[in-house]
Amino acid sequence: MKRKETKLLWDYLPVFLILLGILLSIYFIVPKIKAVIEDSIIKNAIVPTVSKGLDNIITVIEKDAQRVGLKELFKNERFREWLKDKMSIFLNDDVKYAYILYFDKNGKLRYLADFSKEEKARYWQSYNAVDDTVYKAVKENRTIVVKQRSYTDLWLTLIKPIKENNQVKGAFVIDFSISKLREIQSILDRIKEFILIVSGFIILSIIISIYQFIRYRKNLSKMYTDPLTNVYNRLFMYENLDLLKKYNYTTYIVDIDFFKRINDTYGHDVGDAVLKEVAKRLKKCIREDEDIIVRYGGEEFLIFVRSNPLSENYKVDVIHLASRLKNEVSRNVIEYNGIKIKVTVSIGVAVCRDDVDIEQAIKMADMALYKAKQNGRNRIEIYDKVLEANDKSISIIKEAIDNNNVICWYQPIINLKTGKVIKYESLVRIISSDGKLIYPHQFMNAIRRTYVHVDLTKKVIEYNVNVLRNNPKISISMNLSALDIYNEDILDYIDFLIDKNISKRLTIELLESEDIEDYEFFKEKISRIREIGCSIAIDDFGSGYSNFTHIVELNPDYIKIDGSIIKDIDINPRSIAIVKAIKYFADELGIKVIAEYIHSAYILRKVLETGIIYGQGYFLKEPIPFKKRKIA
Amino acid sequence: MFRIIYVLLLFYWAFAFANSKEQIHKIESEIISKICSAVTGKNADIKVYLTENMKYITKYSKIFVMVDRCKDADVVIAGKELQNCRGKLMVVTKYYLLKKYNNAVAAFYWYKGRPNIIFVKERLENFKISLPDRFIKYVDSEKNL
Repeated sequence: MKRKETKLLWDYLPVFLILLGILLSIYFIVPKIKAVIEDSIIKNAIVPTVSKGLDNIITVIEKDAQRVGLKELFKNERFREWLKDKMSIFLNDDVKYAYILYFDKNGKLRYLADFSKEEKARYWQSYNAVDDTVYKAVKENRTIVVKQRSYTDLWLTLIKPIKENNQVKGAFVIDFSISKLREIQSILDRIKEFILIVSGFIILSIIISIYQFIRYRKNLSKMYTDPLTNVYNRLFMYENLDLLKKYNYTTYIVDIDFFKRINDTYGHDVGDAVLKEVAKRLKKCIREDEDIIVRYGGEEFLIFVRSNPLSENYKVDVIHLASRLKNEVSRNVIEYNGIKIKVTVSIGVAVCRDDVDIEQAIKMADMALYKAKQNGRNRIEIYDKVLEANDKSISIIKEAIDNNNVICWYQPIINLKTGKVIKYESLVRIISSDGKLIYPHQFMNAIRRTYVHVDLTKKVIEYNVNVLRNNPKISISMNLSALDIYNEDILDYIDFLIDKNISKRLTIELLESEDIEDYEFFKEKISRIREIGCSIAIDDFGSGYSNFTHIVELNPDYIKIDGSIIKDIDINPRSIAIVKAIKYFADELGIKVIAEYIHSAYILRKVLETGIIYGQGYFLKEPIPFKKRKIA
Repeated sequence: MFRIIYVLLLFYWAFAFANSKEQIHKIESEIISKICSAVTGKNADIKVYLTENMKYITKYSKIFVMVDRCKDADVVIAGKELQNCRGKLMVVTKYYLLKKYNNAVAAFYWYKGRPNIIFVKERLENFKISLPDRFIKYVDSEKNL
């Protein structure tokens, strides 16, 4: 994690360097811009205004000089006065000095006239400036504009050659005051400051934004990470669905087999260590930069592997990676505090398809996973056409729910000694739109863990409550899965729908105790059902890996022995032993025992021999719709 | 913070100002050195007597050896009026001093914002000084002063 944050900072280093470069460039370019603007002002604003008028005056001077020569012309006081008058137009505050120079016979420059307001030179005074510019202008016979050095107290000097009989004999010199330059420079300095401030502000804003963005990403990274396994959590997945939709991903769901048993047997510390190690091993198999691993549930990991479904080996690659994930987890035992645990995983895979979005892909992978678990775990299943058919069946179920085509059939549970029906087990059936009857084994797997399952459960509750309400003398046993019990919505619905008169005749039969993850929490839910007034039965007791201790803690009123044990009670002595043990155990705790799957007289006799007095099965009564059954 | 910025700006301004004045002194020293070298014919160890306001030139020019008495000097550089240096070869830094002292052969002065040089032809002749060609354009007659 820390390495990632450092990497994040390094990622942005070039951006900071570029910004620094830009800032330095601006700092060095701005004076150049300033010089360009100054030159532009000189060329377009300062010089042309004076130069044009000066040219006219020079034309007059040159014309008059043709007659008497420049020296003689300027000796004339009246001419100088006339010129001074003409020059007054140009002599604004920007012009500091304005004078006319002349080359005497020795090649020395002398003043012919000076229109300056201060330091005025007299006629024929020698020009002694340590400066060759005038000589240059005369030599080149062209107008020159010179930027003066800072120490001269001048800004610009405009020099225009003056001819006498087509020979350059003198020059008109205009010196511009440095105060004008300072005025312009002060404006340019403000522009420069403005550019620098704005640039600085923009760059500072960018730096602050980047800093905030880095902090945001760091926090986001923490927010999106599961602290135990250090992989992404569900929140990341939900908030980044758009990102996941950008590329083609093959979706894998990896579920740790019998994880609940590890937790129950060794405690949560060991369970956490297993989760951490499995996550680490899974991460080893995927590409860090391209693939995404998410802790999806308690012991479930979702892996999105960026893929190209059009590649030739795509399907082989999918299977190859799934095998690698499975083998990487199970290859070596996980050791924690001296405890060695062999861990296996079941994997469901949804290959990427254009017509399937990420949410559907997760559902498809989940269905494949369920199949893998059903088929014995420690295996890989890829979502296929059969499962796809299941998927289609979801919409059929949904339609049936919407159209109130959910019904229940009822199989009596009988006191085997008296032959009296003590209650009826409700068994859900769906009537499809074409009138066909659909049995639970045809759709339950497909809708498991979907909202359709919740809706179906509510419909079944509603149906049974109606039957109880209309038949006040009967009792009903209704199946609910552990996931239903966890669902607060369903418990609220039961609480809302039934009163004490109904609840005392309703038994909740718990299915799939394998799904119980937190017994303490589950017990709270069971207590709530008891508070409502319902009885509790445990279905399929003795099958799978149900933890007896935990089941007993739920304090059920009934235990229903799993049909797989009852059905071969006639041929398998072990089954008889298990049934007897359960009966003994239940009697000790005051729990009534029900034997299901009584399908022959011989089985019935065997059951009775064990002392069990409640039973159900096709030999006794088969399930039929309520209207057909003549009750009461 | 702002106080620090003000102090820094003050330093910057003082430095810039000092730098500008230093630059002028340096230019003046260079030009005066060239003038003195031209009128004395020496390129080093020119014994010079300076008025108080001209002492800075020795800071920038290494061809001068300052002397305390006017009579020991090869050349006197005067930036203001002085006594008892009549007849001594003199270079002045004010135009009016050139007019005032007959022994002032050259002047360096600021006019119309620029540095100016003038050599007085007759006085150069009096001191039998012949100038290098590059200074000829700055020579003028005493009558034109």
